[in-house]
Amino acid sequence: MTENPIPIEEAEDYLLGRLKRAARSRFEARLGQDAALRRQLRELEEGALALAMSAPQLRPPREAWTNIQAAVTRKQQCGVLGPFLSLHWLANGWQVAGGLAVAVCLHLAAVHLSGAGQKPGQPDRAGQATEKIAMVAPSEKTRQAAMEKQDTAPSVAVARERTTRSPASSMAVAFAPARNEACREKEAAFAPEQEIISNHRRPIHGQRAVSLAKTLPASQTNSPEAQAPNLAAAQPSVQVDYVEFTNPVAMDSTGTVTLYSGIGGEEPTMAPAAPPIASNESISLDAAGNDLIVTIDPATLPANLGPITIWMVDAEGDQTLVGTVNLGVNPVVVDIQNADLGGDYEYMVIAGGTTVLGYFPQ
Amino acid sequence: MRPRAEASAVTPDDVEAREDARLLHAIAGGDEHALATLYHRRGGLVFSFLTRMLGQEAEAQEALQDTFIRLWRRAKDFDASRSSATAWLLLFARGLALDRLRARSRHVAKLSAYETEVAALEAGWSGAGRSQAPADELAGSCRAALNQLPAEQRHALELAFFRGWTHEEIATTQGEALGTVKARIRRGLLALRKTMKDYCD
Repeated sequence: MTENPIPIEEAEDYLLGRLKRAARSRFEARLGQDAALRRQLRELEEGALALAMSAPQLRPPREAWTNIQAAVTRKQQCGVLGPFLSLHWLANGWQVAGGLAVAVCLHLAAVHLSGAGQKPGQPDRAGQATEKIAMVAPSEKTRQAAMEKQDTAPSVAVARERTTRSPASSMAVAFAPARNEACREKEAAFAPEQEIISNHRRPIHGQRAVSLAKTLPASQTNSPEAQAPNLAAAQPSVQVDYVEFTNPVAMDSTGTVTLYSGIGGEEPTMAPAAPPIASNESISLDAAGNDLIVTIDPATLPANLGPITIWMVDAEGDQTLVGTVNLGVNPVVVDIQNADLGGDYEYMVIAGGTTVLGYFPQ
Repeated sequence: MRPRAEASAVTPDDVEAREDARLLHAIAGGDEHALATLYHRRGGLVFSFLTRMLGQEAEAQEALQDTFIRLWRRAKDFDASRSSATAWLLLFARGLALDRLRARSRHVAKLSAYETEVAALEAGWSGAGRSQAPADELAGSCRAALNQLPAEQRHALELAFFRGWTHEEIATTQGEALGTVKARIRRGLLALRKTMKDYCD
């Protein structure tokens, strides 16, 4: 028998299917042996349902569904497998023909790239087709690596740069979405002023431990070594359909940042009304090539954007929050230590629903 | 086997719950129409719930959108053997709303913060100026049951559920033993659960 009530967080995570495999097994083993625990879980679920239903009933604004539908449609259009798994395209003969043509092109591209001597799994923007195919059925090893990564709770500490950063230290770098051109064209047609980044799929090579840590002097971020050649070229600001406030961090007066534990590996979610940003922020490698230096100047961003979130995107397309920084008035330099930039992780810096920076390995 | 007897035991709420579960499974399979149907059925409930949690309709709308957009990819996590579809959906939305609450600011477990939150929760009942939907009988029963709880119990329950306060934080601000707070919350949940069961029966 269970003497103490189950932790509500654990029960919720179980009900939501968020527990990791090992934790879920442990929880279910307890459930199987403990009738009181089963009863408590049921009480929690039904009580929570009743509590939720006690709220005054409101009608959601009409545009809410419009925004949801638009976001889902974009996901559908840009999913790697979505158009092929769905049978709706069979309804139109021209679409069938187009689909076959695309498939042939993809195949030829894959053959061409494999013949060019590309190593299997090597991250290369030119090899997207090959990589996408490989990601259709990721190996068990890859899945395991992703699960192990989710179990790693990054420790976070952030400090704010008090000095005014010189203009030269802000290397104007945005990001290059690692998508196929056809997909990007579709997105542009859907929303010409927007560009979408999500679901970049790359192989994982082992587990990474990521942490946000020290403030770096502007001189270091401005050093030639810091400006890695494989950073994406500067682009106009772009907007993504994802933003996430999961696992936010809060900074106290001493500059210590606390990372909320709990949900990890959730993909960022949509912030549809975020304004575009004309960014001159920077994101670069450190001298050793192990860390990622993120420099953000709040003065260049629209007001009231809310906290900045930094995301790591893994091969599964899942985006894990590295940390969150609440913007003040001073520039912020964040060093993402052990970012393992020789690997395949991508990083995105998102403020107020808008990606202001991105790092994508070549 | 007595299929007729079994069939007669199925309540309308069971049918509703099964339909929600069916829709979630269809969404997991990439059915956009299922997502639209689920939104049509439960969007109002989720929005009302999120507004109660976040206190602002604009932010609740964003959270509502987040919920259903995420649902598109996360519906596969739903397991009917673990929970009902509606409860799963609401807990799913609650998790996103709690993230937003945490992102606003990290509350400090002090009496003043407790009183502020309780006052905000009390004010949230009015729904003044909002586009209220026709009153739902079950929702009214649940609200009445909640209001019948002793104030300390109701506040503890609401702070824990709508604001994400931990039992420890509530106990600290109230100067109560942790066990007392846990027991209050559990009794409150039981009372609400009984209301729902009575209504469904």
